[in-house]
Amino acid sequence: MVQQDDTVVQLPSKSTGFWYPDTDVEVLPLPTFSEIASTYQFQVIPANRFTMEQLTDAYNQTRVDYVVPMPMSVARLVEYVHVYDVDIDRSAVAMDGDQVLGLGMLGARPGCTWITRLGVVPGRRRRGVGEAVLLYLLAASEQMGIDLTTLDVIRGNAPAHRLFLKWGFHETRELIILRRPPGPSSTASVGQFHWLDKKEALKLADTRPRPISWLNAVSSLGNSDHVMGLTVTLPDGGHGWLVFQKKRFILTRLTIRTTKGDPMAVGRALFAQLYEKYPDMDSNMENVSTTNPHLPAFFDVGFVESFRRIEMYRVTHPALAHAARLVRGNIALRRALVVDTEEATVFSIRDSMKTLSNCDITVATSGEQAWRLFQQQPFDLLFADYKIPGADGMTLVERVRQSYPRTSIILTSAPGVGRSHR
Amino acid sequence: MPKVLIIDDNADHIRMTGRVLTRAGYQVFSASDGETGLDLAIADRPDVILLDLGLPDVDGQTLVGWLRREPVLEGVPIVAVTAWPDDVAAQMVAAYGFDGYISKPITFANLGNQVAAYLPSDDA
Repeated sequence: MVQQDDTVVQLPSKSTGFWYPDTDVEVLPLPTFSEIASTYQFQVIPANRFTMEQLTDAYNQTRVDYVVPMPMSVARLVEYVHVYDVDIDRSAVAMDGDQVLGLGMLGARPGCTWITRLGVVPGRRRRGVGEAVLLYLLAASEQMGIDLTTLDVIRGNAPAHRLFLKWGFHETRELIILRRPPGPSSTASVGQFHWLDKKEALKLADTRPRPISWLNAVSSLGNSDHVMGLTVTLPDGGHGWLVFQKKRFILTRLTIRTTKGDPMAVGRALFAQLYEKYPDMDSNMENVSTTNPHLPAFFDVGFVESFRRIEMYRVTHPALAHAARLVRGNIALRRALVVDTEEATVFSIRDSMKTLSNCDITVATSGEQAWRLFQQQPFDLLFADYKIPGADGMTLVERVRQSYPRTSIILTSAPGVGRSHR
Repeated sequence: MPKVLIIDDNADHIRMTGRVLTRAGYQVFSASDGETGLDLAIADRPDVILLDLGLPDVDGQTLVGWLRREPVLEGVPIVAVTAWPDDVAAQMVAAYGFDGYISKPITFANLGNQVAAYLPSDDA
């Protein structure tokens, strides 16, 4: 129940088929950069004031006692920054005088940021360093107008996990990191295979169901060298593909999709062909979801589990939070329409939705235009602003609700309800 | 005097482990990344290699493959040094063909004996 022009308006509830901004995604208000600077006894400094050598050294210091330390050389950090679109200007280092306390990096892509390499030097933990760096990175995301931030936390890192929950992150999936020593597959390679170049491989990779881990996103593959792929058609008609990166000594970013048939059979055939060609290569695959239907094929060909991460999302726009719930609820979303007059909202929703789901997004700037588009071909999901001109938002919503009851509707604003964090 | 090659990117670990092993009667040399470790091992065949799994250039799993491919290093025990939980360490060590592993944090009082276990009995 909200009020508009002194008239009580009964907003439709979830049971009537649409959602409106509510307060359950309200997250703790973020401090500003100056508040961060005045709150802590140490400084949080933009990472662009440091050389890559200094950042590499700082990063390695934070990881020295980790079960999985993953140390980096300068070359490896430079590659990491490039492949994962890490924005050094918006990444941060916590310093006490000339002593490094911790650091965190921010990957930035349209509609989404990614917090990575967040760590605190042993002996300096539990004093708010990690929180200060996290808040800096979130403030940087907010400054960019981004409503969706993701991260992966190593399973078992309870203090970090608690910190992320406190600041509005929600767990989405459990991810497995796998390794496989060199050696051929024990399975014979059966089926018709076709090798793909990078361009063809990226095109297929873009058809994967969302969400996709940042590490293996199309942008990460696009930024990587020696990406290629492989398709298979099995004798029983099963079909699928594998996209991967061939580094100097190791095959990585191995992504499989079955388009027809049994994922185990498709995965097994693809791996058999892959290791027939590259029997001497080590293999590494990070962030395979525990629900990935190809996981048994990974184990079958000899991958072993190294460790696990928990993927977490922080969604600050209520409309996006609802959309995320729809996606998680496996509601089929093939086409979505965003109707809003605010360009920033439209772009934010469009770009973030591309991270969250596979649906095609169309944009309209008036209720009339939106209604015409609906009549041409209905949408599965409508994001509507109640203030839009033409037919006003509520009129559009009513028309759509009556004519297209299967469409899920999310109001991007509602009377008296603004963006949760602005 | 048996020779131990320590491959570890952490200078403190190398210093402390090296000191303990030297006191226990070993000749110790070290490398802080995989490529240097491989070069040193080939140039001066050690009796045992202690290999940290997390290295800045290649990781220990990849490096063990390189080391195993060198004919001059045939028969040299390669021992992983890792903070993995035992079940993961055991699986990873078996899959990648290490001779065994030593868990981190290292118990220095036992280290000499742990390394000796990988040497022929008349060597230790």
